[in-house]
Amino acid sequence: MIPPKAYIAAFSDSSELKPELISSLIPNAGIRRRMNRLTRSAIAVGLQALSNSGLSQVDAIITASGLGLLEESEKFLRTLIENNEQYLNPTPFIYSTFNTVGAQLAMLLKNHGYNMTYTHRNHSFESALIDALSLLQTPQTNSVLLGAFDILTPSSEQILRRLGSFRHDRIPFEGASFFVLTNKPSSKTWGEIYLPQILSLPKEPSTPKELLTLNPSISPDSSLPPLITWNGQVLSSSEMDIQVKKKYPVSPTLSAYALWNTLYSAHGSYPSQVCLIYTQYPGMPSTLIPIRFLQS
Amino acid sequence: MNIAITGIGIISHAGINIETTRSVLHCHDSLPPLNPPTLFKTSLNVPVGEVPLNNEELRRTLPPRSDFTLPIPCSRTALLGIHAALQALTDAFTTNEKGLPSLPQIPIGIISGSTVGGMDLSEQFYSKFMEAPSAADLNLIRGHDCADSTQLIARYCGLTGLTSTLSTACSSSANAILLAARLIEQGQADILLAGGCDALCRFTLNGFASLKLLDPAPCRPFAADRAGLNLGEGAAYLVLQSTRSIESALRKDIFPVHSPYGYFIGGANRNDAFHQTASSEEGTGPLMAMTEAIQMAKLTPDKIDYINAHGTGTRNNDMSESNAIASLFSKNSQGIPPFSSTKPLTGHTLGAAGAIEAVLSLLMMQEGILFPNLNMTTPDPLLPAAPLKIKSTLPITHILSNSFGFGGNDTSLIFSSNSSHDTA
Repeated sequence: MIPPKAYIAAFSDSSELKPELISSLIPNAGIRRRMNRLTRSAIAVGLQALSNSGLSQVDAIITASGLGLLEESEKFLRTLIENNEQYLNPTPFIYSTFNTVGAQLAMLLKNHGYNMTYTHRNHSFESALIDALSLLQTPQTNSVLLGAFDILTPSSEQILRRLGSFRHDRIPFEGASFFVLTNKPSSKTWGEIYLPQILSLPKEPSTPKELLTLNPSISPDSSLPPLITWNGQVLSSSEMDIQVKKKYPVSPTLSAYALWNTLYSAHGSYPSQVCLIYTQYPGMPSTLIPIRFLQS
Repeated sequence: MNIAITGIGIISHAGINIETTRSVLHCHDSLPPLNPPTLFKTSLNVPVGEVPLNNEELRRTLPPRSDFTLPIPCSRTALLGIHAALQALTDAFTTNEKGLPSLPQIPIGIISGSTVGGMDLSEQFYSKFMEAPSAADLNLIRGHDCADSTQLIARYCGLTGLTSTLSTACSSSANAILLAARLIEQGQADILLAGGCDALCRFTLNGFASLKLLDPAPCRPFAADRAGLNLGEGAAYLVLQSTRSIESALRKDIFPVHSPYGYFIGGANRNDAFHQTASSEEGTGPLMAMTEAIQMAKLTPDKIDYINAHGTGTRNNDMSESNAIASLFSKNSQGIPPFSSTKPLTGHTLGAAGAIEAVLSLLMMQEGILFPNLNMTTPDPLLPAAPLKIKSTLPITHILSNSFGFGGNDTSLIFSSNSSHDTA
């Protein structure tokens, strides 16, 4: 089996999305009004990524979310309990399904292609990436819009805090990131992306050097040693203790942000170099997403 | 594509295992009708397809594991999932003295679909959380996410391969089968457990009630007087295996427990791109999904012997689906193939429906019977095609099974009694 790989044609993230852009990306005010802030922002980021790619359409839309559209689920549940199952507005229920963002993107783009949504806890984006890479091996698929989103509500933040997710000063985090992947390189290509690796290890790696020994099955054709990024920041090759960085942001789809931030901040500086995107999660194994930057 | 199905497991209102479900397909007279919920409190007086075991009974009837105890409380979704998964694995492989599956020495993964995950417990948590946020019992919320059931199934069954959960509303478990088959076809895995699980809860029951989609009487798919769907619950899993893994086992003198139930030979997911909850009248997405699935299976529409319809019983779905079926199959020389919805037996089991109906399709194929579309007195004259009214017995080679979900998510799967190269 040839290890699947794809080409990254575009990327976008909610942290760089100006609020005024949302209304130009989603011109229909009715649609904007029916969506909550996360749904709106995730859809806008998806549309922005597609626009950055120069493509007008993709063959598939694949999304990921660890906890989905919490605002909607909570709103429906609260009214259900408060109204004792009477006079319920179906709108929050309709939009509470995990595939809402993917479905809304399909509707706005009139995209009849493959449409999938993954929700596998802290490995949701990794699951979606596995599907995207597999799908791009099939002859029918040349391009995939791939993205992830997760939101915090006051309740979810409170519950996650009680569950210990923010121990060691870990920071609550939310956002949406989208990418366009293609099966062939183009003038828009930023780099290559490979199958993610789940680090199911008895002990977490504590240094970049240790991480490098876990180098996944990609064969770097350059003599340059792989870089490691942590939430998008390049880790120095010195023996810096990763464990010191316990103060990491917490979101089930953090690796999508980390991938975006790596591409956003490090592209151009490391031509042809392999980069391992290292993401830590509370209570689940860390992951590595290998990419290779474009040749200069 | 040619992926062998070597094990199946099912738990639904229609039966708590393969044998009871198989006998219901032969004779459903003794199956209790769908009744209002008994396992949780609700003011909604509508029929549902409950699994006839409460949580305590579900837990007690599992073979115990010495190295792993299920959390207390454990969501009903996970309990149903573990039951069906263990059935599928013990069916495909052998059972050890503890009643657990003896798995082959290669990593087996799981791809599972769910729509509500542990919502049955989250509802209880949230009532208390609204009163006293810091006092609500955290054990009720730990399993809220859809991946909780997948993780617990993997632990309980001893699965160590790829683990993934997807959630695309009512097509979730059909999509799990689609992904599992593709990963096996591409050599990324040899054996995968694919399916889904969903338990009934107030959240979904009230959700569908607020959309006015629940029929207060037993659902009547494709009937003139159909008035909505009945919800159900359950789980089903299929062991999907590459033919090369079966051959390699044979070379080591490891013989399969039985011959495959059938083969997964093609499938497709397409989007209706029309509305968040409603289907387009002409069934654009369903038509595309069925067409692509048939192409992928290297078949022509006239080779489909039976369609297991999504057939929820809502005005909208059944119109959209039968229009799509008519557009695709009406040019066949022998006309539109027999089709029926099995939802009157099980209720609409949401995320589990695709896998439950895949298992029912495989059992029909094995028994050579086509299960009729129950509860219909008069077919809807406004629809272009009428479903199968009475049970019929005939050899079945190819079954197409439809699963459509919110967000225009349309999936069609094709199962064959022959591996595809035999039929080419």
